[in-house]
Amino acid sequence: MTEEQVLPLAPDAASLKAGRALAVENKWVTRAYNSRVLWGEVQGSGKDPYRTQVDLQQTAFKCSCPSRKFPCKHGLGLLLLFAKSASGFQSSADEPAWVSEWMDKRQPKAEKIDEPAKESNPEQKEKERLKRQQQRHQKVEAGVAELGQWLRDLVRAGTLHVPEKGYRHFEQTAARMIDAQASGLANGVKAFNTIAYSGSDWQSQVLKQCSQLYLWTEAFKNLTALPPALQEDVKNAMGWGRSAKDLSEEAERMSDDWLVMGRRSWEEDRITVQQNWLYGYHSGRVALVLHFSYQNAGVETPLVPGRISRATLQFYPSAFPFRALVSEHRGYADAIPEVRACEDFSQAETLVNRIWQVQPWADEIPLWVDGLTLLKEGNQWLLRDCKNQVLPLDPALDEMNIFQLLVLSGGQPMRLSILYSEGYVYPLGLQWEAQYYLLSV
Amino acid sequence: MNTWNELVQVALLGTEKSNFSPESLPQPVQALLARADRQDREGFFLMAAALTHQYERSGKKLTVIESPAIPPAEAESHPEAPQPAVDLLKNLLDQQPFNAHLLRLYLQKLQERGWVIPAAYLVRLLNIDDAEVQSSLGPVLGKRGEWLRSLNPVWQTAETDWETVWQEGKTAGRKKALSVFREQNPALARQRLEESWNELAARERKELLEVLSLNLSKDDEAFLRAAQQELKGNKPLTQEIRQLIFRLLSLVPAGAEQLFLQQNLPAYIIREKKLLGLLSTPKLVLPESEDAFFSLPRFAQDWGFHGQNPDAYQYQSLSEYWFWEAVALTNPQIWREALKTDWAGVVKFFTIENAKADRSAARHKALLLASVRFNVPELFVEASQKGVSFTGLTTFSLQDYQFILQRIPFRQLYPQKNELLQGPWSAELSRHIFQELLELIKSSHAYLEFARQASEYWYEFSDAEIDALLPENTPSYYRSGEEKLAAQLKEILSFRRRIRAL
Repeated sequence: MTEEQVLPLAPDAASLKAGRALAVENKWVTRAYNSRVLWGEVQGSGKDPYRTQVDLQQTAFKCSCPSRKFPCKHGLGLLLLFAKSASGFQSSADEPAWVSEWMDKRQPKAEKIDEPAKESNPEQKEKERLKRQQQRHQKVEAGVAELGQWLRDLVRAGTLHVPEKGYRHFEQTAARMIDAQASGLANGVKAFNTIAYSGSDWQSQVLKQCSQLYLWTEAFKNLTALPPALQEDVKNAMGWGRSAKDLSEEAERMSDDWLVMGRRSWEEDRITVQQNWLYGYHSGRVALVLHFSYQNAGVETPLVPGRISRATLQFYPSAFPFRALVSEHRGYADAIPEVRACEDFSQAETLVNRIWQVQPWADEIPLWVDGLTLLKEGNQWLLRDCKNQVLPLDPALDEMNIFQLLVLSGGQPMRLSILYSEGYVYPLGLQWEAQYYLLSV
Repeated sequence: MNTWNELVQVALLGTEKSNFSPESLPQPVQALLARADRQDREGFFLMAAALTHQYERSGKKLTVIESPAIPPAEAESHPEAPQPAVDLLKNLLDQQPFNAHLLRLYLQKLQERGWVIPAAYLVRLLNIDDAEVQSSLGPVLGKRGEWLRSLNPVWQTAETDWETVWQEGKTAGRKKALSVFREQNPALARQRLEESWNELAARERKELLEVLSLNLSKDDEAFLRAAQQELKGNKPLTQEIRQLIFRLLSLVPAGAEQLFLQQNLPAYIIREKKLLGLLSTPKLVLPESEDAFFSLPRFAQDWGFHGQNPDAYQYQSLSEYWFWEAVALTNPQIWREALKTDWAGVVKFFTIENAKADRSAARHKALLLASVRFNVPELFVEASQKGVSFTGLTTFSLQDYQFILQRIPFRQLYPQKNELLQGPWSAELSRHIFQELLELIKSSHAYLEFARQASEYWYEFSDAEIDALLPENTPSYYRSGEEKLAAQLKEILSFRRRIRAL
């Protein structure tokens, strides 16, 4: 693992700073490793040194320090130091008891996840589940009806007055959708507050948002008439998606060497949401793995941006199976195989259109596109393909990432992994001379 | 207007006030809409918008732009820094906050070896907001880096056109431009000031005149005297300019004003005979009212000092106030000769016996100023030890600074720490500063920053030597600061060794 790959594992900037400060040899009383685990002892403020361990196969951390952050600064420091100079670590097949105990415990824990829970009274439980589902359906249905009316009222009176309605108006409507257990609809309503009303395009964006929400409400009304996979997408859009434990044994599984093309994290109501976009080298499939954590507690995941995970993903049912979870992680691959890249933006659009045909709400679709160069028109940066077709870069992209792309490519055509959204693209990384360069997201 | 824009217009005004006709929609959308309920006017409109949006985005034609591409970077003519140098660069950039001095040393080393920065690090380095780092970065940017820099105007550190700044700039800019001229060509700078003197407002005159203290010489006298003659009135600002001119004239080496002060001031020290004339002790006797030297026309009207005693606590009379203003502008060597004593004796003579320290503050300050203006570090040390805080600009040479530092507490000189940031420091000075910092760090870890800023100057101690500098019996609550300081110094020196070894 390289230092660059360790950096995104930090739960926040303060932990990273503290971790960097600990990534020096003289801070560690002991430091050793073998093929599966890395361990060290560091003198902290306590009497005894803290014992820090990193599972190298799953990129998991454990430390005896009292920090609530995950990974803690000691875990980060140890892994950073290992990435910087592995030669300074003792290679040892013999693990101390405190290391082998933790590692041995991890294996059965992973197996337990796959074991179906033994149900005491399956019939009764199924009955209760169905009852809960029916109650939720009724609540969401009521929310959908209310939102449908709200949208009608909005277009009847005219969207001209939307900018004057103010933040609270949309927050209140969103709160009613939360009460109706339709958090997806709530987010859709909150999106009105993110539109830049000072810009020239807000009128179009407001109508797009209204029509998108309306399509959801209509789709929910006709839920039973839709194909089963699309029903899942509609329910997901409502915020009634399946949780990981609800994924059945029949859920599609895919084993591959998955490149973590990029990661984005943000905080929402004190919950940290982490998106990981993956590309399977052998299958050519793309996936989105989401993680959630409370505040800065950090996410325990073996996925490392820019690294290739040998893993099996389990896909959530969808007309376009995209969201997934890691059901088995078998370590990391080093060599970067060939990718199936689109030759130009026309091919990319064809691909995206096929996805939209089956799942019209799919957004931020990861793709590879070849032969792209950067171009600046006025103040706007664009990507141009070999046919001179252009797509604007997401205005939210930090310009320094654009310069990073420029300097790595030297202005030559490049193969990029991008997130494709309607109207713009967001580069995640660059494949250059058998190396994948991750852009900070 | 396309179909979507028509829908946006309808939405803006509202379905109640505007007519929406689905017949203008694309055929496939109309076909799907045929299943929708037209009676539900708003629902029908929203469905039309949703379908049109889906339809249009799926069939959207990509924009084609034929304009010329950014020309690619030229091939590199110098080798990239090898892996060990790249690893070191990574470590330097990971430092929080990063160490500009070490980075500069590193870049200079790269230049010496004829290597250029690898592409992946160029953006981070070009973003460092430090003029000195940028100036060291220039020679090692390589073709790729120069090409990249040309693409971002923010990184293009064009040479400032001081001529334009002088012609068109505001006062602060013009002052800076004049300083640049003065450093390059003192006579030309004076000429510039002289040419524009008549057009300048009083405040601007004062600001720009101050620049003449740089490289002041006898050649400036004529202009200063002409300006002095020309000044009319007694407005506060005019007084300030008058005083500034006198200060400049008195500091002209071997100038008439300096000689005049040196001839007149010692006359106020008389010898008082004691023990039937067997002993004589010097005494400062100043006139209670004006005399031939301490006269209002001279001090107030010609030289610009106050015409009334501004601080009755510090000065017993108006003449005493003038005396100490004059002392600050007079070469202090005259006092050693007049009093026939050493520097400690000079300071002791001018200290008010049995008075609180602040009562002598103006006196010590005058001596400190004179010591700085006439470069007498020994007097600076003696006067500083009287506890007067002094934050004026010092112009001592590094050698003199080291002399001062080893004799007075560093804490007292901390406001002028930038003066210290010249090097290299001797082992003795490094040890002295390190031990001072060990004390200071007990009150604030902010002093670690100074140790970091001085990265280039520390003597090259070994780790064992640094450990030996740490006191043995420090209470545990101070231990952390001491260890941090030692660790920081070790790290700095280790980086320096690694840079040198490249």
